[in-house]
Amino acid sequence: MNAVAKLFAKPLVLSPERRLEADADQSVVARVQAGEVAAFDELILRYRERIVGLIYQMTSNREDAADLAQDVFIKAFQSIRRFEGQSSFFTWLYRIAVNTTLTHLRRQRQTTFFSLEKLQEDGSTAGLIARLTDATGADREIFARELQEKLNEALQKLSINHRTVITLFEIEGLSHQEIARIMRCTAGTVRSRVHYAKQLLQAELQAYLRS
Amino acid sequence: MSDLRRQKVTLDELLRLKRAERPSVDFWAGFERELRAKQLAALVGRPAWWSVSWARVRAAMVRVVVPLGATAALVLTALNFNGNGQVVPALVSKPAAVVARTTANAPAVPAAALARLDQTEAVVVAEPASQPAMDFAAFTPAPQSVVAEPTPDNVALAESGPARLTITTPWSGESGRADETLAMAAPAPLSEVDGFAAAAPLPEFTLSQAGLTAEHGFPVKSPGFTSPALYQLVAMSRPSDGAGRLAPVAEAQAREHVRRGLTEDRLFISSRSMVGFEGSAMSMRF
Repeated sequence: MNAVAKLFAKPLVLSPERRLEADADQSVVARVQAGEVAAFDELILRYRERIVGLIYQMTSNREDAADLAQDVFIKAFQSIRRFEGQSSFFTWLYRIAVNTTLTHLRRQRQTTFFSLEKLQEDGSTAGLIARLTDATGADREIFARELQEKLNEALQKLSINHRTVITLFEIEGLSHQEIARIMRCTAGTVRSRVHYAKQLLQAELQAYLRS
Repeated sequence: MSDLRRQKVTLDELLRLKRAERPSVDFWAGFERELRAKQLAALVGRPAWWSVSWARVRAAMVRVVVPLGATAALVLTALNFNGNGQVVPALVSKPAAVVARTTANAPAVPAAALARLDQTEAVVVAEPASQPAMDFAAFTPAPQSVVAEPTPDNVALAESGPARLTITTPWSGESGRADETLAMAAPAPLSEVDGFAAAAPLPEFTLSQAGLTAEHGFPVKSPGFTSPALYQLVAMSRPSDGAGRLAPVAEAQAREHVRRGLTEDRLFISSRSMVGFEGSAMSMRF
């Protein structure tokens, strides 16, 4: 039995919030599998922001993110009868999203233009931006956009696998084990990729980062 | 840029900023609408690729098969009329005047002439359907209009010298008299009817030229009989043309045919139907 098979043989340790979420998903999935098509809307509403966000971080293109996220939900809808509950619905849906996006990225390696999402400033983000600059008003907007552009450029310079791992770990907040299940690799591989991807990003953004 | 360079940040802080990127409310309205459309399309379902491919192949086949089938039917029909008499010998072995009317070069024959032809029982005809033992192919390249039953009478007549054959005309419904020869049959009545003038003396046509040999019940050395009236009909000009003379070109053609041993039906080769394909169109010429 190889390392990946061993990993899948172990039960996934979830946080209490994730456990509650998984249980709620399982009941809705059971309804959809029983033929209640409208119940799938609940799953869409619950996960659409995360799926769109994940794909956007990987592609850095809002239009592609929308199209691919729709495709992900359609694929999930078409395959939900085959979902056996061996992993959580969340992990299963993320795996579909990652695979769909990776396929898209491998087909369109030459895509170079980005489209930026608007920064939704919550308390911590606003504080961070305020701390980074003394400017207000229009200057603040310009600063935020510049920061986004630099980040997107640096992310797009990573390989597809490293970009996926750093997105799932640093931006989406998934654990190494969850990422390993999604990407069908070992947790050690995930850790290694995360570490290497951060090194690359730091090298790329050296001019803007505090040493 | 200068601000950003001046205010250094950590990588974790930059990545935290990435989490704050969220689509606007308008984005979700469009997203919802497009997702509903895709979901509906997925519910309806797409046909399998092989089903679509098979439908395309069938559509392409229909475009090809229908014209081919029609062409085959037309060609078979045309062969029955113009071609090998082995298929429908009765049509070819009708009275010469009737056959001649089917050709493009032949003049229209008045009804009176046809009537007189019938009375003369001019053309040698055997009932092909009633003679299965007589393989028409055995007479090739004999003229299909000459089909003789090798009855004892026929053999006796053939051996006695003149080609006096038992003749039967389906339209007369009775056996012909054995003392009428083919040479006497065709041209003579036409030469007297409605201004049709007789052509030049008919070329000789022997049984050996017709392929009738001893193995078919006929002696090789049989006296010649005149060629079918068809040559004259083809060569004859319209009464309105004046003299009713045999056209020189037609006469030469007739003589050439006889010289080469060509038979009646070979004459039709020139007028046999032609089938042509040009792009998606098909043309037939009789």
